[in-house]
Amino acid sequence: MTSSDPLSVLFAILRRDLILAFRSGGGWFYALFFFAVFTALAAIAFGPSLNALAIAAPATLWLAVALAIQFSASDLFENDLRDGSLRVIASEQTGLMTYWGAKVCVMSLTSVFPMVIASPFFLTMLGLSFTQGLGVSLILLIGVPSLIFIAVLTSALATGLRAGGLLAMVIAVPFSAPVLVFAVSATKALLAGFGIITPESLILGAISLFMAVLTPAFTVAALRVSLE
Amino acid sequence: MWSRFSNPAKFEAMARVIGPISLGVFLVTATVGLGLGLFYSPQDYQQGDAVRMMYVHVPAAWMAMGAYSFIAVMSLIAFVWRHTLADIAARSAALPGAVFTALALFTGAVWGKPTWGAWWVWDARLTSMLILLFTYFGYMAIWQSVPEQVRAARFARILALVGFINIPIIKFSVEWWNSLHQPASILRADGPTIHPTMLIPLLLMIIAYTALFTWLVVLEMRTSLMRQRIEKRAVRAPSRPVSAGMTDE
Repeated sequence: MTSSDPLSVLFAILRRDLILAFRSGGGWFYALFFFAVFTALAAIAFGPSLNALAIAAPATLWLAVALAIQFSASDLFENDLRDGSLRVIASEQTGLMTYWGAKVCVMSLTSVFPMVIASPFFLTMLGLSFTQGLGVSLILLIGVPSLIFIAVLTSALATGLRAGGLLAMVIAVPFSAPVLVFAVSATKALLAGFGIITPESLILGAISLFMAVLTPAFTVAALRVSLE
Repeated sequence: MWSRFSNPAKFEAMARVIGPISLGVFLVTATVGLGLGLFYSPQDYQQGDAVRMMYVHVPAAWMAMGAYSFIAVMSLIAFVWRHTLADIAARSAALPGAVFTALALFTGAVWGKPTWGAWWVWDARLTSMLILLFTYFGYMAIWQSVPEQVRAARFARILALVGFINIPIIKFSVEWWNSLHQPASILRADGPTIHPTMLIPLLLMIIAYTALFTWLVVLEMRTSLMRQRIEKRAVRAPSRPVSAGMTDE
Protein backbone atom coordinates (compact mmCIF):
# COMPACT_ATOMS: atom_id res chain seq x y z
CA MET A 1 0.00 0.00 0.00
CA THR A 2 1.55 3.27 -1.08
CA SER A 3 -0.51 5.57 1.11
CA SER A 4 -0.16 4.71 4.78
CA ASP A 5 -1.75 7.96 5.89
CA PRO A 6 -4.27 6.93 8.58
CA LEU A 7 -7.11 8.98 7.15
CA SER A 8 -6.85 7.55 3.66
CA VAL A 9 -6.68 4.02 5.10
CA LEU A 10 -9.75 4.80 7.21
CA PHE A 11 -11.66 6.03 4.17
CA ALA A 12 -10.57 3.03 2.12
CA ILE A 13 -11.89 0.58 4.73
CA LEU A 14 -15.03 2.65 5.18
CA ARG A 15 -15.70 2.73 1.46
CA ARG A 16 -15.17 -1.01 1.11
CA ASP A 17 -17.49 -1.81 4.03
CA LEU A 18 -20.19 0.57 2.85
CA ILE A 19 -20.13 -0.98 -0.61
CA LEU A 20 -20.32 -4.42 0.98
CA ALA A 21 -23.23 -3.35 3.17
CA PHE A 22 -25.24 -1.83 0.33
CA ARG A 23 -24.58 -4.45 -2.32
CA SER A 24 -24.78 -7.67 -0.33
CA GLY A 25 -28.48 -8.06 0.25
CA GLY A 26 -29.23 -5.04 2.40
CA GLY A 27 -26.82 -5.37 5.30
CA TRP A 28 -27.74 -1.82 6.28
CA PHE A 29 -31.37 -2.81 6.67
CA TYR A 30 -31.08 -5.48 9.38
CA ALA A 31 -30.73 -3.18 12.39
CA LEU A 32 -33.60 -0.96 11.27
CA PHE A 33 -35.76 -4.00 10.62
CA PHE A 34 -34.97 -5.48 14.03
CA PHE A 35 -35.77 -2.11 15.61
CA ALA A 36 -39.14 -2.01 13.82
CA VAL A 37 -40.04 -5.58 14.73
CA PHE A 38 -39.06 -5.09 18.38
CA THR A 39 -41.13 -1.91 18.65
CA ALA A 40 -44.14 -3.59 17.06
CA LEU A 41 -43.85 -6.62 19.35
CA ALA A 42 -43.53 -4.38 22.40
CA ALA A 43 -46.62 -2.44 21.36
CA ILE A 44 -48.56 -5.69 20.92
CA ALA A 45 -47.36 -6.93 24.30
CA PHE A 46 -48.23 -3.69 26.12
CA GLY A 47 -51.67 -3.53 24.52
CA PRO A 48 -53.21 -0.94 22.22
CA SER A 49 -53.82 1.84 24.76
CA LEU A 50 -51.78 4.84 23.57
CA ASN A 51 -51.60 6.29 27.09
CA ALA A 52 -50.02 3.14 28.47
CA LEU A 53 -47.69 3.00 25.47
CA ALA A 54 -46.56 6.58 25.94
CA ILE A 55 -45.44 5.75 29.49
CA ALA A 56 -43.49 2.73 28.26
CA ALA A 57 -42.17 4.48 25.14
CA PRO A 58 -38.74 5.67 26.46
CA ALA A 59 -37.81 2.26 27.85
CA THR A 60 -39.11 0.45 24.75
CA LEU A 61 -37.18 2.73 22.42
CA TRP A 62 -33.87 2.37 24.25
CA LEU A 63 -34.20 -1.39 24.61
CA ALA A 64 -34.93 -1.68 20.90
CA VAL A 65 -31.94 0.50 19.99
CA ALA A 66 -29.54 -1.25 22.38
CA LEU A 67 -30.49 -4.74 21.18
CA ALA A 68 -30.45 -3.73 17.50
CA ILE A 69 -26.96 -2.27 17.83
CA GLN A 70 -25.72 -5.34 19.68
CA PHE A 71 -27.14 -7.67 17.03
CA SER A 72 -25.85 -5.72 14.07
CA ALA A 73 -22.34 -5.67 15.58
CA SER A 74 -22.24 -9.42 16.16
CA ASP A 75 -20.48 -10.29 12.89
CA LEU A 76 -18.61 -7.03 12.46
CA PHE A 77 -15.13 -8.60 12.36
CA GLU A 78 -16.00 -12.15 11.35
CA ASN A 79 -15.50 -11.74 7.56
CA ASP A 80 -12.27 -9.80 7.91
CA LEU A 81 -10.87 -12.42 10.25
CA ARG A 82 -11.83 -15.26 7.91
CA ASP A 83 -10.51 -13.79 4.66
CA GLY A 84 -7.29 -12.56 6.27
CA SER A 85 -7.75 -8.84 5.69
CA LEU A 86 -7.72 -8.24 9.45
CA ARG A 87 -4.24 -9.76 9.59
CA VAL A 88 -3.07 -7.54 6.74
CA ILE A 89 -4.46 -4.43 8.40
CA ALA A 90 -2.91 -5.37 11.74
CA SER A 91 0.51 -5.62 10.11
CA GLU A 92 0.21 -2.17 8.48
CA GLN A 93 1.86 0.81 10.09
CA THR A 94 -1.40 2.65 10.56
CA GLY A 95 -2.53 -0.28 12.65
CA LEU A 96 -5.74 -1.40 14.19
CA MET A 97 -6.75 1.91 15.77
CA THR A 98 -7.61 3.26 12.31
CA TYR A 99 -9.47 0.07 11.58
CA TRP A 100 -11.43 0.53 14.80
CA GLY A 101 -12.36 4.06 13.72
CA ALA A 102 -13.50 2.83 10.33
CA LYS A 103 -15.64 0.12 11.89
CA VAL A 104 -17.28 2.56 14.27
CA CYS A 105 -18.10 4.82 11.29
CA VAL A 106 -19.53 1.86 9.38
CA MET A 107 -21.72 0.89 12.33
CA SER A 108 -22.92 4.46 12.74
CA LEU A 109 -23.76 4.95 9.07
CA THR A 110 -25.29 1.59 8.24
CA SER A 111 -27.20 0.55 11.33
CA VAL A 112 -27.52 3.47 13.75
CA PHE A 113 -28.21 6.41 11.46
CA PRO A 114 -31.32 4.80 9.88
CA MET A 115 -32.69 4.07 13.36
CA VAL A 116 -32.19 7.65 14.54
CA ILE A 117 -33.97 8.93 11.43
CA ALA A 118 -36.80 6.43 11.87
CA SER A 119 -37.25 6.90 15.62
CA PRO A 120 -39.63 9.94 15.56
CA PHE A 121 -42.01 7.99 13.33
CA PHE A 122 -41.97 4.95 15.59
CA LEU A 123 -42.41 7.15 18.64
CA THR A 124 -45.57 8.67 17.18
CA MET A 125 -46.83 5.10 16.84
CA LEU A 126 -46.05 4.68 20.54
CA GLY A 127 -48.25 7.62 21.47
CA LEU A 128 -45.85 10.58 21.56
CA SER A 129 -46.15 13.70 19.45
CA PHE A 130 -43.83 14.16 16.47
CA THR A 131 -41.98 17.12 18.02
CA GLN A 132 -41.39 15.06 21.16
CA GLY A 133 -40.10 12.32 18.88
CA LEU A 134 -37.63 14.73 17.28
CA GLY A 135 -36.33 15.70 20.72
CA VAL A 136 -35.94 12.07 21.69
CA SER A 137 -33.94 11.38 18.53
CA LEU A 138 -31.52 14.14 19.63
CA ILE A 139 -31.08 12.33 22.95
CA LEU A 140 -30.48 9.17 20.93
CA LEU A 141 -27.58 10.97 19.26
CA ILE A 142 -26.08 11.72 22.70
CA GLY A 143 -26.38 8.18 24.07
CA VAL A 144 -26.02 5.93 21.06
CA PRO A 145 -22.22 6.38 20.64
CA SER A 146 -21.59 4.61 23.94
CA LEU A 147 -23.76 1.69 22.82
CA ILE A 148 -21.79 1.49 19.56
CA PHE A 149 -18.44 1.49 21.40
CA ILE A 150 -19.65 -1.24 23.75
CA ALA A 151 -21.01 -3.33 20.88
CA VAL A 152 -17.77 -3.03 18.91
CA LEU A 153 -15.71 -4.01 21.98
CA THR A 154 -17.84 -7.04 22.88
CA SER A 155 -17.97 -8.11 19.24
CA ALA A 156 -14.16 -7.96 19.07
CA LEU A 157 -13.92 -10.04 22.25
CA ALA A 158 -16.25 -12.67 20.80
CA THR A 159 -14.77 -12.76 17.28
CA GLY A 160 -13.89 -16.24 16.13
CA LEU A 161 -15.44 -17.97 19.14
CA ARG A 162 -18.22 -20.52 19.13
CA ALA A 163 -21.59 -18.96 19.92
CA GLY A 164 -19.77 -15.64 19.70
CA GLY A 165 -22.90 -13.55 19.22
CA LEU A 166 -24.51 -14.89 22.35
CA LEU A 167 -21.30 -14.43 24.33
CA ALA A 168 -21.06 -10.83 23.15
CA MET A 169 -24.58 -10.25 24.48
CA VAL A 170 -23.68 -11.73 27.87
CA ILE A 171 -20.58 -9.54 28.11
CA ALA A 172 -22.42 -6.42 26.97
CA VAL A 173 -25.15 -6.60 29.64
CA PRO A 174 -23.13 -5.05 32.52
CA PHE A 175 -21.76 -2.32 30.25
CA SER A 176 -25.13 -1.34 28.84
CA ALA A 177 -26.79 -1.01 32.24
CA PRO A 178 -25.53 2.52 33.12
CA VAL A 179 -26.22 3.74 29.58
CA LEU A 180 -29.81 2.52 29.72
CA VAL A 181 -30.31 4.00 33.20
CA PHE A 182 -29.34 7.49 32.15
CA ALA A 183 -30.72 7.29 28.63
CA VAL A 184 -34.20 6.40 29.82
CA SER A 185 -34.17 9.00 32.60
CA ALA A 186 -32.94 11.69 30.16
CA THR A 187 -35.74 10.76 27.77
CA LYS A 188 -38.27 10.89 30.58
CA ALA A 189 -36.95 14.28 31.67
CA LEU A 190 -37.37 15.55 28.11
CA LEU A 191 -40.94 14.26 27.93
CA ALA A 192 -41.68 15.85 31.31
CA GLY A 193 -40.74 19.21 29.77
CA PHE A 194 -37.24 19.80 31.17
CA GLY A 195 -35.66 20.15 27.72
CA ILE A 196 -32.76 18.30 26.15
CA ILE A 197 -29.94 19.63 28.36
CA THR A 198 -30.63 18.03 31.73
CA PRO A 199 -28.23 16.50 34.29
CA GLU A 200 -29.26 13.07 33.01
CA SER A 201 -28.44 13.82 29.37
CA LEU A 202 -25.13 15.44 30.37
CA ILE A 203 -24.14 12.31 32.27
CA LEU A 204 -25.25 10.25 29.28
CA GLY A 205 -22.94 12.33 27.10
CA ALA A 206 -20.16 11.86 29.64
CA ILE A 207 -20.61 8.08 29.48
CA SER A 208 -20.35 8.23 25.68
CA LEU A 209 -17.10 10.21 25.91
CA PHE A 210 -15.75 7.89 28.60
CA MET A 211 -16.47 4.84 26.45
CA ALA A 212 -14.82 6.58 23.49
CA VAL A 213 -11.63 6.85 25.56
CA LEU A 214 -11.80 3.48 27.29
CA THR A 215 -12.88 0.99 24.63
CA PRO A 216 -10.53 1.54 21.62
CA ALA A 217 -7.39 0.22 23.33
CA PHE A 218 -9.24 -2.78 24.72
CA THR A 219 -10.90 -3.47 21.36
CA VAL A 220 -7.55 -3.40 19.58
CA ALA A 221 -6.07 -5.73 22.21
CA ALA A 222 -8.99 -8.14 21.75
CA LEU A 223 -8.58 -8.08 17.95
CA ARG A 224 -4.89 -8.89 18.32
CA VAL A 225 -5.74 -11.89 20.49
CA SER A 226 -8.26 -13.13 17.93
CA LEU A 227 -5.46 -13.06 15.33
CA GLU A 228 -3.25 -15.44 17.30
CA MET B 1 9.15 -8.53 41.27
CA TRP B 2 6.43 -11.07 40.59
CA SER B 3 8.75 -13.55 38.93
CA ARG B 4 9.45 -15.12 42.32
CA PHE B 5 5.87 -16.42 42.36
CA SER B 6 5.73 -17.56 38.75
CA ASN B 7 7.65 -20.76 39.33
CA PRO B 8 5.00 -23.49 39.72
CA ALA B 9 7.24 -25.59 41.95
CA LYS B 10 7.75 -22.72 44.38
CA PHE B 11 4.03 -21.99 44.27
CA GLU B 12 3.33 -25.62 45.02
CA ALA B 13 5.58 -25.47 48.07
CA MET B 14 3.91 -22.28 49.24
CA ALA B 15 0.41 -23.61 48.55
CA ARG B 16 1.08 -26.64 50.70
CA VAL B 17 1.52 -24.27 53.63
CA ILE B 18 -1.10 -21.65 52.82
CA GLY B 19 -3.86 -24.13 51.98
CA PRO B 20 -4.04 -26.02 55.29
CA ILE B 21 -3.47 -22.84 57.31
CA SER B 22 -6.39 -21.05 55.67
CA LEU B 23 -8.58 -24.11 56.05
CA GLY B 24 -7.73 -24.19 59.76
CA VAL B 25 -8.37 -20.47 60.15
CA PHE B 26 -11.70 -20.91 58.40
CA LEU B 27 -12.81 -23.79 60.64
CA VAL B 28 -11.85 -22.00 63.86
CA THR B 29 -13.19 -18.53 63.04
CA ALA B 30 -16.37 -19.90 61.46
CA THR B 31 -17.13 -22.03 64.50
CA VAL B 32 -16.45 -19.24 66.98
CA GLY B 33 -18.04 -16.55 64.81
CA LEU B 34 -21.21 -18.54 64.12
CA GLY B 35 -21.48 -19.55 67.76
CA LEU B 36 -21.11 -15.98 68.97
CA GLY B 37 -23.26 -14.57 66.22
CA LEU B 38 -26.13 -17.02 66.37
CA PHE B 39 -26.33 -17.67 70.13
CA TYR B 40 -24.39 -15.14 72.19
CA SER B 41 -24.94 -11.84 70.42
CA PRO B 42 -27.88 -9.58 71.35
CA GLN B 43 -31.03 -9.26 69.30
CA ASP B 44 -31.60 -6.11 67.33
CA TYR B 45 -34.11 -3.79 69.00
CA GLN B 46 -36.09 -3.55 65.77
CA GLN B 47 -35.27 -6.63 63.75
CA GLY B 48 -35.12 -9.17 66.58
CA ASP B 49 -33.42 -12.40 65.60
CA ALA B 50 -33.52 -11.52 61.90
CA VAL B 51 -30.40 -9.43 62.43
CA ARG B 52 -28.40 -12.66 62.77
CA MET B 53 -28.63 -12.94 58.99
CA MET B 54 -25.98 -10.22 58.95
CA TYR B 55 -23.27 -12.66 60.04
CA VAL B 56 -23.62 -14.71 56.87
CA HIS B 57 -24.77 -11.97 54.53
CA VAL B 58 -22.27 -9.14 54.99
CA PRO B 59 -19.15 -11.33 54.62
CA ALA B 60 -20.59 -12.87 51.44
CA ALA B 61 -21.14 -9.44 49.91
CA TRP B 62 -17.66 -8.44 51.01
CA MET B 63 -16.12 -11.49 49.35
CA ALA B 64 -18.19 -11.00 46.19
CA MET B 65 -16.45 -7.68 45.63
CA GLY B 66 -13.12 -8.82 47.05
CA ALA B 67 -12.98 -11.77 44.68
CA TYR B 68 -13.64 -9.59 41.67
CA SER B 69 -10.93 -7.15 42.74
CA PHE B 70 -8.60 -10.14 43.12
CA ILE B 71 -9.44 -11.28 39.59
CA ALA B 72 -8.80 -7.78 38.23
CA VAL B 73 -5.45 -7.40 40.03
CA MET B 74 -4.32 -10.85 38.89
CA SER B 75 -5.40 -10.02 35.31
CA LEU B 76 -3.41 -6.80 35.44
CA ILE B 77 -0.32 -8.69 36.65
CA ALA B 78 -0.82 -11.24 33.90
CA PHE B 79 -1.37 -8.50 31.33
CA VAL B 80 1.72 -6.50 32.23
CA TRP B 81 4.22 -9.17 33.27
CA ARG B 82 2.94 -12.10 31.16
CA HIS B 83 2.65 -14.07 34.36
CA THR B 84 0.86 -17.36 33.62
CA LEU B 85 0.26 -18.28 37.26
CA ALA B 86 -1.68 -15.03 37.71
CA ASP B 87 -4.05 -16.15 34.93
CA ILE B 88 -4.65 -19.39 36.77
CA ALA B 89 -5.22 -17.48 39.99
CA ALA B 90 -7.75 -15.18 38.31
CA ARG B 91 -9.57 -18.09 36.76
CA SER B 92 -9.65 -20.02 40.02
CA ALA B 93 -11.24 -17.07 41.82
CA ALA B 94 -14.12 -16.73 39.35
CA LEU B 95 -16.33 -19.58 40.50
CA PRO B 96 -15.95 -18.90 44.26
CA GLY B 97 -16.57 -15.23 43.56
CA ALA B 98 -19.74 -15.96 41.60
CA VAL B 99 -20.96 -18.30 44.33
CA PHE B 100 -20.30 -15.65 47.01
CA THR B 101 -22.22 -13.11 44.91
CA ALA B 102 -25.15 -15.50 44.51
CA LEU B 103 -24.98 -16.24 48.23
CA ALA B 104 -25.02 -12.54 49.06
CA LEU B 105 -28.09 -12.08 46.86
CA PHE B 106 -29.81 -15.12 48.35
CA THR B 107 -29.12 -14.31 52.00
CA GLY B 108 -30.07 -10.72 51.26
CA ALA B 109 -33.41 -11.88 49.91
CA VAL B 110 -33.99 -14.07 52.96
CA TRP B 111 -33.06 -11.15 55.22
CA GLY B 112 -35.13 -8.72 53.18
CA LYS B 113 -38.37 -10.66 53.52
CA PRO B 114 -38.81 -10.15 57.31
CA THR B 115 -37.24 -6.68 57.48
CA TRP B 116 -38.41 -4.97 54.29
CA GLY B 117 -41.38 -7.20 53.54
CA ALA B 118 -40.10 -8.11 50.08
CA TRP B 119 -37.74 -10.74 48.71
CA TRP B 120 -36.40 -8.37 46.12
CA VAL B 121 -36.45 -4.64 45.50
CA TRP B 122 -34.67 -2.80 42.70
CA ASP B 123 -32.49 -1.04 45.20
CA ALA B 124 -29.15 0.40 44.10
CA ARG B 125 -27.13 -2.13 46.05
CA LEU B 126 -29.13 -5.14 44.97
CA THR B 127 -29.11 -4.11 41.34
CA SER B 128 -25.37 -3.52 41.22
CA MET B 129 -24.74 -6.88 42.90
CA LEU B 130 -26.94 -8.58 40.31
CA ILE B 131 -24.93 -6.95 37.54
CA LEU B 132 -21.73 -8.05 39.28
CA LEU B 133 -23.06 -11.61 39.10
CA PHE B 134 -23.63 -11.18 35.34
CA THR B 135 -20.07 -9.89 35.01
CA TYR B 136 -18.80 -13.06 36.70
CA PHE B 137 -20.87 -15.16 34.28
CA GLY B 138 -19.43 -13.32 31.29
CA TYR B 139 -15.92 -13.83 32.63
CA MET B 140 -16.46 -17.55 33.15
CA ALA B 141 -18.17 -17.90 29.76
CA ILE B 142 -15.13 -16.57 27.95
CA TRP B 143 -12.90 -19.14 29.63
CA GLN B 144 -15.34 -21.85 28.59
CA SER B 145 -15.74 -20.82 24.98
CA VAL B 146 -12.07 -20.68 23.96
CA PRO B 147 -10.59 -24.15 23.75
CA GLU B 148 -6.92 -23.10 23.86
CA GLN B 149 -6.01 -21.99 27.38
CA VAL B 150 -3.35 -19.50 26.32
CA ARG B 151 -5.75 -17.63 24.05
CA ALA B 152 -8.60 -17.86 26.54
CA ALA B 153 -6.35 -16.28 29.16
CA ARG B 154 -5.66 -13.28 26.93
CA PHE B 155 -9.34 -12.68 26.21
CA ALA B 156 -10.19 -13.12 29.88
CA ARG B 157 -7.57 -10.59 31.02
CA ILE B 158 -9.05 -7.92 28.76
CA LEU B 159 -12.58 -8.66 29.93
CA ALA B 160 -11.64 -8.67 33.62
CA LEU B 161 -9.90 -5.30 33.34
CA VAL B 162 -12.68 -3.51 31.47
CA GLY B 163 -15.19 -5.10 33.79
CA PHE B 164 -13.34 -3.72 36.78
CA ILE B 165 -13.47 -0.16 35.46
CA ASN B 166 -17.14 -0.73 34.79
CA ILE B 167 -18.03 -1.76 38.35
CA PRO B 168 -17.80 1.71 40.00
CA ILE B 169 -19.75 3.22 37.08
CA ILE B 170 -22.55 0.72 37.58
CA LYS B 171 -22.47 1.30 41.30
CA PHE B 172 -22.86 5.05 41.01
CA SER B 173 -25.28 4.98 38.12
CA VAL B 174 -27.75 2.69 39.86
CA GLU B 175 -27.49 4.71 43.05
CA TRP B 176 -28.37 7.78 41.05
CA TRP B 177 -31.11 6.01 39.16
CA ASN B 178 -32.54 4.65 42.36
CA SER B 179 -32.52 7.98 44.18
CA LEU B 180 -34.71 9.39 41.44
CA HIS B 181 -37.43 6.88 42.13
CA GLN B 182 -37.23 5.70 45.70
CA PRO B 183 -36.51 7.18 49.12
CA ALA B 184 -33.14 6.53 50.70
CA SER B 185 -31.92 3.01 51.24
CA ILE B 186 -32.94 1.12 54.36
CA LEU B 187 -29.92 -1.10 54.66
CA ARG B 188 -27.52 0.11 57.33
CA ALA B 189 -24.66 -2.08 58.52
CA ASP B 190 -21.63 0.18 58.79
CA GLY B 191 -18.91 -1.37 60.89
CA PRO B 192 -18.14 1.35 63.43
CA THR B 193 -21.80 2.14 64.15
CA ILE B 194 -22.56 -1.26 65.64
CA HIS B 195 -21.88 -2.49 69.13
CA PRO B 196 -18.78 -4.68 69.83
CA THR B 197 -20.95 -7.67 70.79
CA MET B 198 -22.17 -7.70 67.21
CA LEU B 199 -19.01 -6.37 65.58
CA ILE B 200 -16.69 -9.09 66.87
CA PRO B 201 -18.67 -12.04 65.46
CA LEU B 202 -19.09 -10.11 62.21
CA LEU B 203 -15.34 -9.54 61.90
CA LEU B 204 -14.69 -13.20 62.74
CA MET B 205 -17.09 -14.23 59.98
CA ILE B 206 -15.38 -11.91 57.52
CA ILE B 207 -12.04 -13.53 58.37
CA ALA B 208 -13.67 -16.95 58.01
CA TYR B 209 -15.07 -16.21 54.55
CA THR B 210 -11.75 -14.74 53.42
CA ALA B 211 -9.90 -17.83 54.64
CA LEU B 212 -12.43 -20.07 52.89
CA PHE B 213 -11.93 -18.12 49.68
CA THR B 214 -8.14 -18.39 49.99
CA TRP B 215 -8.37 -22.13 50.58
CA LEU B 216 -10.67 -22.65 47.59
CA VAL B 217 -8.51 -20.56 45.25
CA VAL B 218 -5.28 -22.27 46.30
CA LEU B 219 -6.93 -25.68 45.93
CA GLU B 220 -8.27 -24.86 42.49
CA MET B 221 -4.90 -23.42 41.40
CA ARG B 222 -3.10 -26.59 42.45
CA THR B 223 -5.67 -28.67 40.61
CA SER B 224 -5.25 -26.60 37.45
CA LEU B 225 -1.47 -26.93 37.60
CA MET B 226 -1.75 -30.68 38.05
CA ARG B 227 -4.20 -30.90 35.14
CA GLN B 228 -1.76 -28.97 32.96
CA ARG B 229 1.01 -31.37 33.91
CA ILE B 230 -1.17 -34.37 33.05
CA GLU B 231 -2.05 -32.86 29.68
CA LYS B 232 1.61 -32.23 28.94
CA ARG B 233 2.41 -35.80 29.88
CA ALA B 234 -0.22 -36.95 27.36
CA VAL B 235 1.52 -34.88 24.69
CA ARG B 236 4.80 -36.52 25.61
CA ALA B 237 3.28 -40.01 25.29
CA PRO B 238 5.50 -42.57 23.54
CA SER B 239 3.16 -42.98 20.57
CA ARG B 240 4.43 -39.64 19.31
CA PRO B 241 7.98 -39.11 18.09
CA VAL B 242 9.98 -37.21 20.67
CA SER B 243 11.53 -34.08 19.24
CA ALA B 244 13.50 -31.20 20.61
CA GLY B 245 11.76 -28.00 21.58
CA MET B 246 8.42 -29.46 22.49
CA THR B 247 5.91 -28.64 25.20
CA ASP B 248 6.72 -24.99 25.23
CA GLU B 249 4.00 -22.44 25.70
